[in-house]
Amino acid sequence: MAKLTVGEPFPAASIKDIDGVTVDFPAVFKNAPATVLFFYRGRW
Amino acid sequence: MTAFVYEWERYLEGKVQILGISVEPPEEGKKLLDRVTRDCQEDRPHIPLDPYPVRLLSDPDATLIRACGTENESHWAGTIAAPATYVVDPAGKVKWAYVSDSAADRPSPVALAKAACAVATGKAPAADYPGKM
Repeated sequence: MAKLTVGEPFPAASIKDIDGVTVDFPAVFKNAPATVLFFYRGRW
Repeated sequence: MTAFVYEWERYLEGKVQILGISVEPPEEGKKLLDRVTRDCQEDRPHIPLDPYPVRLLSDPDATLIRACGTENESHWAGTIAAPATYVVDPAGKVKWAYVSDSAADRPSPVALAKAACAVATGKAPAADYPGKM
């Protein structure tokens, strides 16, 4: 799949945070005037 | 991830939320958070870290990672997230992006914070802090 780019809508998905709380995308973006979202491989 | 703490005052002023996503299970995310919190407390004791300003999410099946096109299927450890950072507005539209092929190639912490705070105030990210696609 092509990488998400500027101007595009963030895709819909539902995953959990590390405390087990479900986070729905894109609804979570309404919680703040801006959101920084970063993907990381883990085990830094 | 410590860079978010070091730029904390900028993010706080903009009321920016910060989400980090990987395929790691929740227990690994908690270990990571404990480790970076300890490092930041020692390095920047004047910054309150309860709660830590980054919310970590676990995407073990890479559902969201694939939906964003940021999967790396060729890593020796299996499918992982490729390094990508986005600034998204409340309507869910991507306003700034920094996408690379290497974990060593991440956006400047200042550039990212300034882009996020610009979006938080309804402005376009400054042209002198460009992203990367």
